[in-house]
Amino acid sequence: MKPAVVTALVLVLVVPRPAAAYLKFGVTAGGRAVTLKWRQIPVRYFVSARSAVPGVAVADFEAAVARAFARWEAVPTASIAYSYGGLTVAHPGEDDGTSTLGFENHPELDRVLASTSFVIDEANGTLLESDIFFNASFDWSVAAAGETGRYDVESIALHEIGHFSGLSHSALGETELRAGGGRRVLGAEAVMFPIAFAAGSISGRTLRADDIAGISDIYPTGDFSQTGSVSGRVTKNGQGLYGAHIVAFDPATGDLVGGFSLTARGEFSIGGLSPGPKVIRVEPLDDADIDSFFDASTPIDLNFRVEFSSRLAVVPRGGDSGAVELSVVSK
Amino acid sequence: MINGRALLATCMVLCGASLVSAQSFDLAGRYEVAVGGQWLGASSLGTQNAALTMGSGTALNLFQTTSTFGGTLGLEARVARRLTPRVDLEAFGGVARPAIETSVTNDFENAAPVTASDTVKQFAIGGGLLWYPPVHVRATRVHPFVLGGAAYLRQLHESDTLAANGAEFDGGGGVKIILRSRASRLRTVGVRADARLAVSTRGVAFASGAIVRPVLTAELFFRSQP
Repeated sequence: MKPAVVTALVLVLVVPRPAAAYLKFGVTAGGRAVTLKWRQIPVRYFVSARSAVPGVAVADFEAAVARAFARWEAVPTASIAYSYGGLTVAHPGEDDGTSTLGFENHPELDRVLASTSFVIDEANGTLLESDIFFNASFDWSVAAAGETGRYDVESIALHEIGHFSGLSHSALGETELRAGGGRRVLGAEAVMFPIAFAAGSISGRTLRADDIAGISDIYPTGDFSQTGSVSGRVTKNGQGLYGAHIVAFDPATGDLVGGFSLTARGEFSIGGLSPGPKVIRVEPLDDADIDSFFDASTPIDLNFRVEFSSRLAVVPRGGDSGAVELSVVSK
Repeated sequence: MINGRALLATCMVLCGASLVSAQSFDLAGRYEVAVGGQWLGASSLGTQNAALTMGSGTALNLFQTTSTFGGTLGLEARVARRLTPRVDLEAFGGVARPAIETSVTNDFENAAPVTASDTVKQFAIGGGLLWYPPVHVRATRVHPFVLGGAAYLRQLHESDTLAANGAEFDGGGGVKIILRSRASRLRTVGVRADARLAVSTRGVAFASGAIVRPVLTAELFFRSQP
């Protein structure tokens, strides 16, 4: 049972990541997929004693990441909890048994604001250690209202702590190509959307319905049993479509929660939804790099039009909507 | 606020009758049974934006929805017991299958507009008071009334996977027209029509607010001997 180090999601500045739903990290153990998660809660974390960059003192950094941890902890339908172990001389990324957050200078990673790495028990998917490094080669801020030209520590920490806790990326967002390459985020409705808002923005400090559904799915409390799910199938020319992005929208509350079709038959399931009717939308993953969400070797069909289901999917309390059939056509 | 005088006047106009001085009252039977149909009017459930948050904190709409609780026909039955010569206590039940319809428009990626729907099975059981005001009409077989009541409401989605319970309060007015009246056990046979405004709360259709809609009812009634 040798732990294996897995380098996980990086926050890419300009690389496209389409908009949509939450994914969970997982490994195959004993022939079946298991979700990566912490089993010893509260999860203890440390801050590197060298976590100071211009404009951000170590104490500022500690306070900002504490606020970000507290936001995840405050989700009422999730049981995840964290505890702060204090300052450490360790570096983030070291396989030392302590989960460490801190700044590291990596100018060669010119599109990476921050990155999360894991040590996991491959036998059962247990997270044993997780480190987050923030790239000191960028300009950072902890100002309450944000600071022009500087990335907000709290916003980026909130995203990375989502990874730290076992969440992968959400595709709930829209981007546009930039003239110099890469993409710019037009809007996102998930902290776990892979591309950060522009420097100076603090819009990423608030967890959205998609993030809440995701973290609650991994660490559910009893209240989570009062939510339900939508499941169904996406087809094109009668064949299952893998990797389509499906969004469930609540016309009563305005909440958006997304998911993907994850089998060769095009089947999908989106959990953590409030009971009631939902509008279902399907779109191709054409806003970003496919490997932000799936293995790069997996063929993903992007050639289809955005469609809505012609029937409202009714989410029952503690149950599933029943099969929603989404048929798409080529562009 | 529903004004009783206005409702009564409306009923009079609907009957094509004019108010005259009080005359003898001809619905004195102790019990009444009525069955018939009802029309439940449509009601708006509002507009909602599927909004993404922009870096500035403002919203970028992915698409927009406008939802309605559709109009539909249903069945209604009621029994009444005379409390006083001019007041009946009623119990009633009704079933209907209204549809929730959500129109989706203005998609950010130009998806074709669509209307998504779901049919709801709706059951109501309740009670109320019906009052015959001390007026009469020239056509002596026509009897105006005003009524108000409350009902327990149960709504079940098409897939039978989600049910919700709520309450409905209604008020309005109408007329009873006697078709036949004789000295038998079923002394009086007639038709009844009323118009009401119904306010329902906490139903499955967007539980966040009350739904107000018009209801029209037409029934055949049978009234026992005094």
